[in-house]
Amino acid sequence: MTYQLRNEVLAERSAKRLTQSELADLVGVTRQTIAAIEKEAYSPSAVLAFQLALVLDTPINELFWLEEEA
Amino acid sequence: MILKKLFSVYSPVWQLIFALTAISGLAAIYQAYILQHPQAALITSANSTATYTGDLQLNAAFFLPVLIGLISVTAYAIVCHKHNSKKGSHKVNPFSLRPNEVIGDDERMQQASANAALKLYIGNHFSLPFLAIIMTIGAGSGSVQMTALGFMIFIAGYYLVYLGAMWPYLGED
Repeated sequence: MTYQLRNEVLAERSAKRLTQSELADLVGVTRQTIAAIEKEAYSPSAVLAFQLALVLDTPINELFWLEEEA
Repeated sequence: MILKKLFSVYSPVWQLIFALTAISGLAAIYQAYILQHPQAALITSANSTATYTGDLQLNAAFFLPVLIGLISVTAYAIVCHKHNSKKGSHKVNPFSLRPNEVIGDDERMQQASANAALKLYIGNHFSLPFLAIIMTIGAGSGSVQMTALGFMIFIAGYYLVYLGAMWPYLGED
């Protein structure tokens, strides 16, 4: 059984009116990494996931969750 | 876009060009030296015709790598300068002990570099025995060209494996 890490980073970032660059600066990564996370092309580390949840002021389980792959 | 990625400041193509030109230049010098001083390489059958051929080979085979080397060093210096003037916080140092191809900007790039290094290790696991065979045959037959060619194929494979693994991430800057 394999799982895919899904997220709502794009929606939460838009709600907070932050650009990818601004969010990237806040959590200390590059803009490209934020873009990759939003496209679900990259699964962030637990530390980065918690940082994003903190900055976006969203419970981590609402920002990231596992979905079983078909 | 392909050229931008290929000749990005983080691309291993630069190291590949530098290594290949250095090896081919050194091989040309060594080959010419052997042909002019056959006793140095324990060659007993060299004659005056071979010495003359060696002089000609040095002209063609030595100055071409030198020319390519000079052009590529200049181009790399320009690329580094452009990158450093644009990206003040992520400057690259061509003389750094840590190669510029090992990108460590953030955790995603560190992971990408680590995955590329893993592929490189697996590639070397298979290619090193072949390099050893070519080197042994080259040394045994006294063939500088074969030894140099073996090195060049190995180095080309080495950097191309790394380039392939880092390809999706190049040109992002």
